[in-house]
Amino acid sequence: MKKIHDIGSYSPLDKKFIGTLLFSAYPITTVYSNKKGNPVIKEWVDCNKNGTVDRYFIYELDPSVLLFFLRGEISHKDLFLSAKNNLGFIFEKNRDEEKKYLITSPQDLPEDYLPEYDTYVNPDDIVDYDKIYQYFNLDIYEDKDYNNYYHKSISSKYNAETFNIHFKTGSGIKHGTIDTELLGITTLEFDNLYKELVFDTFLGKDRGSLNTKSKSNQELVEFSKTEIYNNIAASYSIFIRPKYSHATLFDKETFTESVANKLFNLIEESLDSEKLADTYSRYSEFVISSYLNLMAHVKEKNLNMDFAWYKPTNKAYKKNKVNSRTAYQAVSNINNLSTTEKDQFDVTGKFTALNCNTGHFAFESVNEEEFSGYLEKRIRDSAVSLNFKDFYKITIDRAIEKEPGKADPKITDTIISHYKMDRK
Amino acid sequence: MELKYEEEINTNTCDLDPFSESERKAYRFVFQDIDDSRNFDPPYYRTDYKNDECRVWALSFFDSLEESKAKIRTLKKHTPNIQKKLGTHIAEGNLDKNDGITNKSNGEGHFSLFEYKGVDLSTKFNIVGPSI
Repeated sequence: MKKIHDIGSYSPLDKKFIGTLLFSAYPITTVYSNKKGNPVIKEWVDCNKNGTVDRYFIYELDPSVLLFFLRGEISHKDLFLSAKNNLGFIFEKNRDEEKKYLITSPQDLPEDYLPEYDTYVNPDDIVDYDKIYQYFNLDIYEDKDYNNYYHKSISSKYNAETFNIHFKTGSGIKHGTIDTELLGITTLEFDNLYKELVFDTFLGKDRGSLNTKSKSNQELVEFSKTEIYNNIAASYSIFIRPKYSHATLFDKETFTESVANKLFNLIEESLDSEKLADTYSRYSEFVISSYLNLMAHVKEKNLNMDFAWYKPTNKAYKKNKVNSRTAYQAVSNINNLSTTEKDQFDVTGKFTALNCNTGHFAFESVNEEEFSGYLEKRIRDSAVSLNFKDFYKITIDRAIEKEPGKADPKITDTIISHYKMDRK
Repeated sequence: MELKYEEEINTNTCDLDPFSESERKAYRFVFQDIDDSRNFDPPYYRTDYKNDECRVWALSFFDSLEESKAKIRTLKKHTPNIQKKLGTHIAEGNLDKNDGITNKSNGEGHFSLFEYKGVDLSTKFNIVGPSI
């Protein structure tokens, strides 16, 4: 028979001791290097009643993850949970004799084998920082960002195109916590924007308002839903994926990718007034309105955030930074796209309502067309002389304001002159 | 005087210059029974950590009860089962020049003791309470 490799005869500590992470007097966490030159962490986790048998959890790490831990960006528990391939070894040792090995996942360890949730390393407790840093050349990972690393890891793990909203600073944001209201409103605004982008992508920008309660639209509405499926303390970072994936057999670009491209293009374009003027018409008013709401919220709450998206199959990645300054710029650029058309015309008919104090009027033309607005200030006092019996010829100054994000233009009618007609 | 683990300590790599005889109050993590044989065993016998040929033969102490409690709290956050290894209680005692040589405390009030031969610290220490 062929010889089968016995995992029991493989020592997970087939490596070189590099140094002690924690602690000087009680070395519970030590660092080794395996043949690949990767860090292998050995954690004391348990012992038997009389202390003669010790149990350790041993796992390999990406060097960058070790650096994140040394920098205090990830907790000690996160370090365990970052074990390469989500695997590690439990081994028991009786003073001089190795006893047995088990392969397990850190997720399956008993709760009391893992550090407490919010336990981060105190730099003063790291024993051999320089030795460990230099041996693994951790300086080459200094520009790596943990949030970015985690985003790609979690997306790859679940094979899900994933959006990341990273709340960096702002009122209500601390390391690992965020005000519920802030998180709720921001994610809702994002979700609304995502939905409108989905509707635009599916139906085109001239689709009009979608009746989301209609049975015929239910499939599309379901398809536009997203879910938050992970989060990390970073200050606070959440990971969102479409609730239902849309299989695209022949398209290179997935549906979500198409939506993500629109979103990030919009963020970028909104910061450049010239670019925006060219591209703004590609989006429906509903998308613009949702985007304005999101940016207004960022501005109001003085948030500093990153929006990112990652597709694990082709490693496509997009990221935009958004803060109160860029949000103000975006809102301002979009609002500057407002256009106002002016018109002036005469209408014959009767007044149906008048307020002598405010100058508000309602007027019905002989063609049964209705108008309302205000008398120009200059002639407001003449309201007392008007009645609902006689026919009048009125001259209206009309301003038609087309605001971005609003489907219908705003019409403002002002009567600049009126004459009583002797007859119709 | 001869150190208890004189033969085991690698004096080539062990710098004992910072150590000297002194009289000082000391606190140590121990098990509930002061006579438990593990209480004053050096780390060499309690872990498989053999990488520091000097440190594994020294006993750990703290200057104050508060500092020892603070340390166990920190250790427990990182390793919840640590008291199964170090002990569930804290003992208090007075070390003198006949017990061995100690170094200066660090910022956490921790110091190390190399015992002299024949010293039995279990007779000099008393349990003051649980460590947490």
